Amino acid sequence: MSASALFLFRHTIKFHSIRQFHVTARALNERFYTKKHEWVQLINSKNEVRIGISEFAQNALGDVVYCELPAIGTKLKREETFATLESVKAVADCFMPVDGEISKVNENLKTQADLINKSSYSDGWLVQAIVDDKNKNDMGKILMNEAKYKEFLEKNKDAVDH
Amino acid sequence: MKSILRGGNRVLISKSTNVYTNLALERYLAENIKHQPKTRLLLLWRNQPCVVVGRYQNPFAESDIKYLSEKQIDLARRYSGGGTCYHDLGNLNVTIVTTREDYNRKKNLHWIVNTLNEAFNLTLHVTDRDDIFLDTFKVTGSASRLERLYAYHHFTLLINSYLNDLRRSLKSEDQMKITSKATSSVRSSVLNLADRNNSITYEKTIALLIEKFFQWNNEKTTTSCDYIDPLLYYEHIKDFENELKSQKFLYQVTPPFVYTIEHEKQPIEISVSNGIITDIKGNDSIIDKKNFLGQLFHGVYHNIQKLNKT
Repeated sequence: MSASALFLFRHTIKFHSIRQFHVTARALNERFYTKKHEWVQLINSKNEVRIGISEFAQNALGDVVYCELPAIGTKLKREETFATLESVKAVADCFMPVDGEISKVNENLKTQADLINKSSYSDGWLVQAIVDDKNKNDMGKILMNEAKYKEFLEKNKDAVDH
Repeated sequence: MKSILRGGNRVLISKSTNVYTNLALERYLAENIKHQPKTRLLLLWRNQPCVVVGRYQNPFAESDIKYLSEKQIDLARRYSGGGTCYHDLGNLNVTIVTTREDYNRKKNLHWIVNTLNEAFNLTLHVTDRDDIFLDTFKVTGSASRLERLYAYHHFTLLINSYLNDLRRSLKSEDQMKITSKATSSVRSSVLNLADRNNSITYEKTIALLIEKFFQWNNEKTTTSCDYIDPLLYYEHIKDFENELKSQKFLYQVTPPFVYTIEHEKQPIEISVSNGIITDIKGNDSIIDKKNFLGQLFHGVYHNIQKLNKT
């Protein structure tokens, strides 16, 4: 852009930058959900996501007493089992929301499995994984965003206990 | 071969009384049957004397391993969660398999309770923990496994089991010595249904359940009920069966734990992870660590017992 254009459009440019930052920040924090109640969230610009189970899922499971997590480096496809949880009600598998390679697991869960119940979206996260660009961009298309997930829960309210 | 895997409301009764075979069969059927929504598969089975621990339990904390070995009582670990139980021919195993969406433990248990109460004039009730109690005595414990497309809920029913053998097998001297995050059983006093109504037998119970199962699922008559001989499906279930029998699955998937013994009046703490002794804390001069570090815990268990209290 020429100097005069920059001067004339100085407020627009500022506004545009802020808006862009705002959109990026929201994209980073946005959670997407699967029909099996896992959530996935992009956490940095290095294509790393965090995965856990939703508030609804932890409530249906009951108190989690044990958590089996994958080895770092494991490559998994969407819908493959990445973790197994034992609650007072059942042994239940958790399924990958997206293809990825496990980069980190939540070590705290080894001694405090109930973090999954107490803080399912924050301290109770299960694993982190590296995803490729295509999968990252498809997340919004294949999975449900917050609003759609809420709708989904409403519609399935009469679903039997887990 | 194909017809055994058809969906719909069905009852299958296993001809085997081998716990590894039955657990393998259960998993094979659950994974491969084309489950239809709103239908259920009822699997009925029983085993020769054995102790079955839950997926994330510690067998040493839950049973007397030495006693089991002496009496040739099988030790098995199942794929579902929950606590430890003792099976013999007087204990009926019931598995209800459905689609993941139709999974509902309470519905299953209420069906059993209503059916048995009505037929045998009992006062069974379902508890918060999905057990079935007769007054203050436990007759049923539940466990489940939830997979992506299917789920199963299985439970035991004490009909006329040898309760003294049950108590002796589930008594663990090691409970106090073990610290871990493994799931522990919640112990209760138990009772046989036959103790309350001596006309109740295994044969009568399964006949009753088969008849009432189809009614429960809104079918007019007893439609699809078969005896299944797992030997005929050996090729299909052998991988599960071998896994269930393996030392690895029995002992090495136990969650990490610390086993504490007393040797020459000093405490020795043995750390075990993936079944292998990874660390020993205690007075160095007392114990020859070389013999134990890196060894499989269950392999040197006998030697560790000898050290204890000596």
